[in-house]
Amino acid sequence: MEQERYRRALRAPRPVNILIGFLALGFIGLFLVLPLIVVFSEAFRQGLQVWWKSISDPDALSAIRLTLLVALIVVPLNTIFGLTAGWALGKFRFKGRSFLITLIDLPFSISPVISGLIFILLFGTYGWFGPWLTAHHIQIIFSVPGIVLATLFVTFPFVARELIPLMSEQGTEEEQAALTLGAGGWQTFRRITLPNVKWGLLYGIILCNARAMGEFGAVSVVSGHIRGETNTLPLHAEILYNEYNFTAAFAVASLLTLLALVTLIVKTIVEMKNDPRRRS
Amino acid sequence: MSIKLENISKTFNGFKALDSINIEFADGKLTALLGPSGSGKTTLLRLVAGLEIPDPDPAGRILFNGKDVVNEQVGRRRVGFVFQHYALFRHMNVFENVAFGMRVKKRSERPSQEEIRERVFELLRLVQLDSMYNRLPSQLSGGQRQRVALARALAIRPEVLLLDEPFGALDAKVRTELRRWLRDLHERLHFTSIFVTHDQEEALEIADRIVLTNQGRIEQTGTPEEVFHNPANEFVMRFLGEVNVFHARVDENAAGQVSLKERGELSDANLLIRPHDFQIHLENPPKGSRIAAVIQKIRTAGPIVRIDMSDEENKAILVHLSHEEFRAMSLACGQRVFLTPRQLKIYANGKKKPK
Repeated sequence: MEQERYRRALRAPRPVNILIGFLALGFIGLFLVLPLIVVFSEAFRQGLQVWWKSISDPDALSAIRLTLLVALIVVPLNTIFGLTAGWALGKFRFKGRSFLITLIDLPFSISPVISGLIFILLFGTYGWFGPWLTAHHIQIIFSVPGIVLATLFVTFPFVARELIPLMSEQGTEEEQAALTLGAGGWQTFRRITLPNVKWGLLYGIILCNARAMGEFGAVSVVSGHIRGETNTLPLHAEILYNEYNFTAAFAVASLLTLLALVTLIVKTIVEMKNDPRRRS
Repeated sequence: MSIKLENISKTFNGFKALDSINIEFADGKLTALLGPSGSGKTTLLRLVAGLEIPDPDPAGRILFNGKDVVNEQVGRRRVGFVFQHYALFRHMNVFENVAFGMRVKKRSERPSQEEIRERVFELLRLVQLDSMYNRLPSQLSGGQRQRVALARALAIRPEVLLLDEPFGALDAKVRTELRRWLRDLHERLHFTSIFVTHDQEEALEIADRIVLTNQGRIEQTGTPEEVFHNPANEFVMRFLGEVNVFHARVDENAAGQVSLKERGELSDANLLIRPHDFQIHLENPPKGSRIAAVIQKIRTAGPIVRIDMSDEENKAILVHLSHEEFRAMSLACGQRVFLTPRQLKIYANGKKKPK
């Protein structure tokens, strides 16, 4: 009885409730659901065949291949880096630790376009290392290595950001216990440290992968937009769009959107597994 | 196994946690490291385990059965370590936690699956948790977790068992149960055990020997009876139980006679009396030193009667009486009584004064 009264007191009048509900639904519909529908309806506007032709076009296939290649190089590297950083910065306290953590966040706080420009200034023809690279016939900018470097830089923080607070919170007591029980350093890492962060690590990898495949700004600056060679999926979509080839552009965009949806689903599953109520 | 520390110091960022410690832990005994927090007792335990490295200069030695193990790694020292917050492997069930120490052995020394299984269940029966072998640590109560931690430490057949405030995070009832149980276990298994605690009651109840630490130094070592009845200094006496402290004056002219300081006098010694060492008089006793006091509060709930009094300077005095004594005297709040000490200790500048 008492509880029911409190509950009623906390509840807003019905018309207000309905109004707020519709407002929220309207917002979600307009800004989240509608764009999704637009992407897919535009992509399939001229039928499944045109969609298939758009994404099986040699230039599109090359863009898909390049995007996958970049992710295949960048994600493992940043996973290793993130684990190392998480371990060093999460499990130990030392001078300069907070400075390092800030430094890792740098790629987040810099505009992606600037990130790309940094690499042009370093490795471009007129950049710091430009003459030396030219002399040795090494091409970084406007080719695949530049795209990999720019993506590596932009997706640097994802895994580390996920692991530092987690490892910091878990502390080192379990590792110490493992050591007293006779485990070596590698055994302790493999059997204790790694399993304890596996869900956080997976979550970081998923985010890192999504960004590596979807990155536009930094990659756009260093790629040079050479069709069939240095175009990633997002760049390819932009080029098609600029050429008024809307259906093809949306077809490519639908691929990226699908990737985003799959990422979201996997992320949700990981989060459910990672639920603190199921951890100690 | 006997453990001996010679001239061991440990400094953390300029803070001296331990200052040239010399101590021996006898074979097969249960020793308590007792002291306030920050006194260096946990550091001492971690040094024995190998989880901390002693200061290299001046070089000290840690001897296990006469053999220096300072440069020996943690895993090779064969010590069972039990952490205050259990440190169970959160992603492994109880069985795997206990089996861990056997699974990480070198292939040539590793027991077979069947042997591991047998040993784990033998240990789980010992800690009365064999029915919970497939639970995760998060599904256990604090007392159960600490028992798993103990079984896990015993799985490597250690020669020494080190326990860092093992019952500190548990509630009072579970704590008393577990410490009796630990005492029984120690009696059955008979290895050298050292446990850290800041609870003097716990130390007095289960330890064979007590080592009192304070500010990185050892204040006294002895059996519970020795340290309780003959505290080496004021710190030990204050730490081992409730005590009333009176400021006193030593009269050098009258053969070092000690008297309570009068108002305005400088005190140069402390006079310590335990609450149960007072005799209460209803009338002013004819001779001898006595303290006039007024009863402020009487608490009869508990095994003893606790009486708060205040003296003429309004200083609080705590007196303990047995229920029998209390009934025989019929005391009431506001009543004026006289106290004479049955026993007292005098320490000048913290040191014991020969009387």
